[in-house]
Amino acid sequence: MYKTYLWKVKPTSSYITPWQSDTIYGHLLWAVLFLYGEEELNEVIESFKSYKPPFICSNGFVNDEFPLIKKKLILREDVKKISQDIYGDKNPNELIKTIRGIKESNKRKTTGFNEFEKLRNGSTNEELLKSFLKEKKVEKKGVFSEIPIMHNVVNRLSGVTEENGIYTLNEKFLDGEISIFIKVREDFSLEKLDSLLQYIELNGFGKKVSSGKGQIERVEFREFNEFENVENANGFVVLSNFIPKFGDYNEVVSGNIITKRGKTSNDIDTPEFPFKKPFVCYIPGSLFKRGDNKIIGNILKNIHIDSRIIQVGIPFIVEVKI
Amino acid sequence: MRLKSIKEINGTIKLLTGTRIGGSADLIEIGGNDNPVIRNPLTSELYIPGSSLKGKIRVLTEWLEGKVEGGEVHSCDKNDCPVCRVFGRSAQNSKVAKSGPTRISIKDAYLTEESKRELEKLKNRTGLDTEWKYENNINRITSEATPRNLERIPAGIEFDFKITYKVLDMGDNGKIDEDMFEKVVLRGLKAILLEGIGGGTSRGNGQIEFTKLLVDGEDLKDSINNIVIG
Ligand SMILES: [Zn+2]
Repeated sequence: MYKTYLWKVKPTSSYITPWQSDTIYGHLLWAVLFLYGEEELNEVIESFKSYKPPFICSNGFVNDEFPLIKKKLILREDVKKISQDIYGDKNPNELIKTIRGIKESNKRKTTGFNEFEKLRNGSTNEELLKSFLKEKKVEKKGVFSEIPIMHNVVNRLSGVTEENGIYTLNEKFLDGEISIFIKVREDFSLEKLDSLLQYIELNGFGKKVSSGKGQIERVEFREFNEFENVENANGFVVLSNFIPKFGDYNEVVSGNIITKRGKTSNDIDTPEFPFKKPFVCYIPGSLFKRGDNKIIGNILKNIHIDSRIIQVGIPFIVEVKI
Repeated sequence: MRLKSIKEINGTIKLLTGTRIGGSADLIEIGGNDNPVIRNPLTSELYIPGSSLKGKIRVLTEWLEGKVEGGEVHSCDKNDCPVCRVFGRSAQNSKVAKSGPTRISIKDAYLTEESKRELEKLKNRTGLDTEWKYENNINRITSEATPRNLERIPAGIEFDFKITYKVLDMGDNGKIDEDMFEKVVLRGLKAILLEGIGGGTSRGNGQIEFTKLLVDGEDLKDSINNIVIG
């Protein structure tokens, strides 16, 4: 059995690495090693390998913006009916308004928590669109900016930066908060998990922590019961990077895929980094019809010359009535 | 390998002369707004990137430890190399050295509340919160002097900074890391007191002092000042 917790943090510096579950898992495993030693780390890795993970992490979501669940795309032929449903008559101006609204709404990748919950509970994308068109309310978003920052390496002998000594890093500046959801196995010590999170808070997140990137402070860490139970759920949406295994789902309703090259450590500052083999995964918001497996997601082994290194592709999921 | 402790340095840097911390140092020199200082894009506030302080302390440490051979950043696979152990090394070298993660982490340094107010006042008076100064840049090959208009953070401004340092027990109960904290980190701080930070330190830019320096809460300002280098 698992209980759900919310770990909310606030960036206190810019950061480079996006808050994705596979990276968060990596940080937690490193924290186990540093705080509790190699033996404990091996135990934790074993429990992942046997699909009894002590904790299951989501990606980080900025200011409670959740991925938009797409059960069904709004099609062109639906426009007329939607327009009539909202505006009543067949005024052509309203039709244009509707088309514009649909375009705008199709561009959306995120929703607020309330809409996310409605969609999980059987609301359709069409219903959501209608209320979006009627109310036009804009949800509060974090102030976010991603810019390339120039860095330079000084030539030790000449004392100046030479042409090959300049590189840029895309740094993310966020005035807002990041929410990470964590399911914790009931027999895993919550204090231990808390200490791992505290270690990450102290050490920083992602690339270049040794020069101050990825600094965070805790906003809260608490049990989270706000995901409602969905009656007659027949599917699930992933809130993490998800590497599937056989039997995890019967059908992909809507999925987005990325290819990633994992990294083995969080604070090596050099470009010639020890990469793991690349892997493909679904990203948050991907929607599936349920299969029979209890624990969804895969653990990749043999992805690095160091055979102890694994890639955790077990996603934080919530049920959906499709 | 296990974490023994994390040391924490909390300090305040006061600029004694105008300071240039731009992303591009001395190479990019075309255009009007030459070498602008770094700002947070959301708030426009000035800050000193941790990477800039770390880079400076690393270079000085390489010199002090006799690790400068060519023009390149030093990296080796000796487990107890003070430069690599404290500041990090290349992946290939890490695999052999097995010395664990980079010990030091130097955070971005942010304006103190008082300095924010001072800069606000300056901006109300002059329209700018920085100063602009022409410097002659001599081309090394043609010896031609090119005047450049450079942006500097004015003298008197203070930044709070923070450094953390991991002490790992690698079967030695953390002794090597404890030693290196004194010999590398504290000495490195003394070295930037002498050398300055940012660009153009040889022209007098970027001279600093510490108006506060606490190591795990203990005031070490005087002991840093008393460290003798060389
Ligand atoms: Zn070395």
